[in-house]
Amino acid sequence: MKFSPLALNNACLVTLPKEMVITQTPTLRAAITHQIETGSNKLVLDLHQVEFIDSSGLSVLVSALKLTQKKAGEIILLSPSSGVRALIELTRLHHVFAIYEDRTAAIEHICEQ
Amino acid sequence: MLDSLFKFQTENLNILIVEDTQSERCFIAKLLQSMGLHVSSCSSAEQAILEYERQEVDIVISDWRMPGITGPELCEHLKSLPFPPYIILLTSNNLAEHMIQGIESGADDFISKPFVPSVLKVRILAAARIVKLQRKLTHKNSELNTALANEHEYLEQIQSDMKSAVKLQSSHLPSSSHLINQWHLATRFNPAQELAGDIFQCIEIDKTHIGFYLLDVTGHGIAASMQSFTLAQQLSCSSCDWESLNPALIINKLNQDFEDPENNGRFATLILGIVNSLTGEVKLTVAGHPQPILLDDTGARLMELDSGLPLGIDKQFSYRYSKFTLKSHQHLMLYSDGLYESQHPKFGEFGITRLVKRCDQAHSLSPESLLHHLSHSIDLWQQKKPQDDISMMLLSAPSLFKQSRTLDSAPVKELYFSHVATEDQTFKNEADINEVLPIQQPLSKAPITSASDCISRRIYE
Repeated sequence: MKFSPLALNNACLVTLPKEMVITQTPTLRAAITHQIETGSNKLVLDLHQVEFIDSSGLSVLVSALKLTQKKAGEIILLSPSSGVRALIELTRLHHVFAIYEDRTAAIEHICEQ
Repeated sequence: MLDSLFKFQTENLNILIVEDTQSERCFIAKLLQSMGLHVSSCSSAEQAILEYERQEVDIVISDWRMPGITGPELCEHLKSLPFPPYIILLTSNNLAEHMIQGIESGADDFISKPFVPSVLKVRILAAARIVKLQRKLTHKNSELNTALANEHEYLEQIQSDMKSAVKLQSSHLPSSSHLINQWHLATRFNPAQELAGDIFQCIEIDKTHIGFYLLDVTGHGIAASMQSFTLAQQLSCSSCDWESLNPALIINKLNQDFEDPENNGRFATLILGIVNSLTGEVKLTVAGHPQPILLDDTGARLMELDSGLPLGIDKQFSYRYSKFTLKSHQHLMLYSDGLYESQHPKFGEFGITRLVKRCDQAHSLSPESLLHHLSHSIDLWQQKKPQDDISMMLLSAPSLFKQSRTLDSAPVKELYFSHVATEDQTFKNEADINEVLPIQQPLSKAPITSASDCISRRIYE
């Protein structure tokens, strides 16, 4: 997992790893929660590397969404693979997440004041 | 300065002198006593071995050459005991070879005679440091062992608690059984860990209606199973309004009460339905859960019902239900994601398409055999290493349907789905319809599958 700062102070690009399954989720959740708690309330979660995700992996995305909403922030999901997108759509979570395919557009959107 | 340090370091040390020559023995004993040490002495190694068993000794100072057992032999013996002393060998022979043999036999230090008293004194000081360190380590070790034993006991307690929780959990799940009016239920439950996040149930609401649900809380283990237990509790006959015969209403309430105190993003997917056992009419709400599979004489197909958000995502979300009819010889299968998400190291995910195909191929099996067949297929796919909880529930309509008169006059020929928004007038006129089943507002720009898409179709691979 990688955190890259963006042009806007409170915005951040989070590149998620290949696997987001039950064994990794506590670590991922803690890292993202820390990032939000320390001031980044606007996140682009880059999913292009994610190959395996299960429902506990999705719960990391949901906890990030709820936390940023509480802090008047925003979450964007970027480039999920077709498998990941299928799971997001099956669980209907595409109704609550903004999903972008274009990296530049996602970063531009999140950096809008 | 050195004196006070020496006194402090050598406090409570017991020294045993082993020396066959009486004059030597007395000289060393007097010398050590003058340094303020506790000293006892023996005239032979044999006596020293007995003495060592009788009293507590920290340091042994032994002569090399003695009649009977020699100094190095005494070293070997004492060092083979579970709690050996610190040993200093004395010899009049200053050969390097001697020293090597002495230390090899287990001596910790070596002093050649004649020696200067102050040399003996600092050697004792060095010995005291090591003895004290050893004592400290022994103490720490026993503390660690005690702690470990406590942890072990605690773990055993947890494991036994888990075992009873597992028993409790499976005892709450319905087993295959006959329901009212010749309906039939078949179930299968394979937990991945000891405690599962899956739970399912079937309830006879009254003489006509059967309620059923299958839910899956994210993750597994204690927290997930506690949450699924809580949901099951809220869905029990006494605390849930099954008599409303309205799945959407029941799920709205369940969703509003869903708690995630640690903000772990925990959510639950769920299918909940109510079937009229006389007419076969099913009202079903899907909350982010995989679609049910419909089986009949001709095969199996994945349904495409309207699906809402999982529980715990949005408290304000209004769920809706779909309506369709189960005819004679038709079966409705509900399952958790563990069934199709299981991974094969080479071929990847089992997948919904493959699941439906397997059901299609095996549609003529009896409900129990079908679930057994699927369970076995998945078991082979994940190479007998359970990855996630697997729950399956198959609800079967009676083979000979005694349908009610109203339906006899207008028999249901096709499986149909309808949202209440497009439901017939009589239904719309019910006063609370808008409160219970409002038309859903899209929450994001993402497209929503339109109702017209909701036509059941066979899946071919």
